[in-house]
Amino acid sequence: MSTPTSPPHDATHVEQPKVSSLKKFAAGSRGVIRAYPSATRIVSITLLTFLAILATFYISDTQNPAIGEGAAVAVAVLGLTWLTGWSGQVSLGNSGFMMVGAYTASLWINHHPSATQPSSYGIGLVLAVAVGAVTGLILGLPATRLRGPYLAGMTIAFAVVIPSFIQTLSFAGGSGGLQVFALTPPQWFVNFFNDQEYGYQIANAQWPTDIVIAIAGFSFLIMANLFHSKLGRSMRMVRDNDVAAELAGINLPRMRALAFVISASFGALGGALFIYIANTITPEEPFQFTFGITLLTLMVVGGIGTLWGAAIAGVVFAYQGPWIAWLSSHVGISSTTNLGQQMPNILFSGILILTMLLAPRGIVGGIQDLVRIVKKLLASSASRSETSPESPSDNASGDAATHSPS
Amino acid sequence: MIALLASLDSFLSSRIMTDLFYGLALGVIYALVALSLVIIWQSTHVLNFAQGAMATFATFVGMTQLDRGLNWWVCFAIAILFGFLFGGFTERVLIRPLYGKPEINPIVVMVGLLGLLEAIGQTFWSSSTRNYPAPFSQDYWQLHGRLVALSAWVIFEFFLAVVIMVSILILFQFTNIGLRLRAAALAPEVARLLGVRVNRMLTLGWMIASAVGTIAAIIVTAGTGGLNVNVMDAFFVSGFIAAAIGGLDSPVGAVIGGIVLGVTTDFVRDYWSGNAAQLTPLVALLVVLMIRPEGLFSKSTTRRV
Repeated sequence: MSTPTSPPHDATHVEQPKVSSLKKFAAGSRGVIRAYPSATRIVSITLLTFLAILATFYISDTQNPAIGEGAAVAVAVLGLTWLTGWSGQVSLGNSGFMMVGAYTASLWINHHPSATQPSSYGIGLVLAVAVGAVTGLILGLPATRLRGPYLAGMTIAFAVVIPSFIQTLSFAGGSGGLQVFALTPPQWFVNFFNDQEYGYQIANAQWPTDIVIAIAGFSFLIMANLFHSKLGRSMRMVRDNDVAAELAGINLPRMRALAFVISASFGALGGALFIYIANTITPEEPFQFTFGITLLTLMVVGGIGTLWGAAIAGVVFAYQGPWIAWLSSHVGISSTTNLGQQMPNILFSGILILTMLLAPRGIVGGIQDLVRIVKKLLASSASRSETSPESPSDNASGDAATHSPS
Repeated sequence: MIALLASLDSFLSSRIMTDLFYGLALGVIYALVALSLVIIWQSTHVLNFAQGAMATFATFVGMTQLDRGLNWWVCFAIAILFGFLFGGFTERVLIRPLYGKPEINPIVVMVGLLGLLEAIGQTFWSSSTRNYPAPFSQDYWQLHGRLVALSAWVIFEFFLAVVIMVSILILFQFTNIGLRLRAAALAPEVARLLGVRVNRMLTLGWMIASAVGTIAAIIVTAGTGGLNVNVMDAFFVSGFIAAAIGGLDSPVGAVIGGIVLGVTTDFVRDYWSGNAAQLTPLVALLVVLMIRPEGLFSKSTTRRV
């Protein structure tokens, strides 16, 4: 799971006597990246977020909400990947955190109508994170004393109990759930972006998606910094060797509980963002406990413990509908039959099992292995000026965005 | 004499006894699910998250044979046999490659199997609830016009549960196979050295557990319970909680935990509120795990940290 963050092969490239100017640039940029890691994180994640928002301009309005939902799910997967990949605690209950966040935000917005107060969406998010953090603390305290399957079992109990508990709360709309109006930004904000002079404007259906992507990008930035903070390093030490961590003066119970609090906050934020796009929440949809399994699948398939894994998870979630429809139509399964309706679940669960049995490090792990093999081949075949300059520099920026912890 | 009988009537139909009977009927199901989880945990140190789904699947396979006009007891036997074989198949194909891997791997695979079985089940049998008859009447008894929360079916349920628990006790404690099963689970290396086919024993442990789980699923779904692909989800969670309260490596703890959990939940429902009853198992789990993380009846030492 843990490889050194700075690739060791770089030193040989820098010290080579004859290098092309392109290569010098690559080596120089790598030096900059290493000298200013946090600035690089900020720049690269901001850039990628900007690219994602740009992409929504070229995606149809029917697909755009799914992209927004994918971004929201990516935030929740980020919380799960922090808990499982970095602190080593397996949770199946993060759908429960999403539900808590979604209900908190929905309740606030229902009592403070968004039509008159656009700020209620923002306050809803803040409240969702706060309530999510408290929920995470309540669940995290007993979790400090539990390991592996006990912990996973307790979290699945949480995910099953939360919906049936919320169903009994009369102020939460019972089994009918709650409605949230579509996320609409305030007029001054819209005017700021919609330039009248050039007749350029953003479609109404696209606004929520873009805002959710921007917030998701911000969450990725926070998580990237968490990964590289003292907290993140301590967390990994707790995961890899708890005795050594305790010897080093790390308070294990506090670390484990804190991991839950942070994970729950991200889960609640993801849940609230999801509802801003989906607009309806009931105890059965969309955060029933099988959604926790979906989250786990997405995380495992993307790659446990990596930012790229969470991002891939978001993309997979956003495009699962069209991809599965395409697959079904090519295999000749009608969407009205039982099999057609169950295709997503069958595929997700099947892929989860196969990934875990055959490639437990997911897509990111697979790509990392591939890059390593390619590099080894290149290094052995010709270590002169023949090597392609693109692939190392590509990889350097990739490393900067994730600092590939696994 | 008549006065005594009359007081017996009022005693059996009293609120406390009614709750006790309801709670016991629920508790033995929890106990059976917990027992099947504990058997698997003891043999392979895997928590079988797909336990409920596997049991429901086997119940579907057996009980849909009623539509072909087969006898109820034949269908019952088919379901248990299928559960038995399915448990062994799962251990062989999905769990065996994962021995010695990080503990997250079997958890994720079993969760994947849970999703897969529920999806395949809905493909075959749709998501709607179907009812199939119970072999005994489920009408509660009337004693001189007073309702007693017992029926022929509930008595059968108690009887079946006791038979299973006793036979598992005998199997594990007093037979040669049981000795080998325990040896394979406790000290696989030594057992192998002494000529025990350890892998076979692990598979057998899964088969027995899966069959016990299937019986629990049939008790839940027969008659008015209704058979549904997701029906065992909640029972799996309660069964897990019962097993965790008792200690995942203690069959006796699993049974006691299940029965206590069922009775407690029903008393909370009746004397406090349904909302509180929803949260009772989770709260019970949290409280017990705070006090004794390894469960109340576990003999294993606390993990040092």
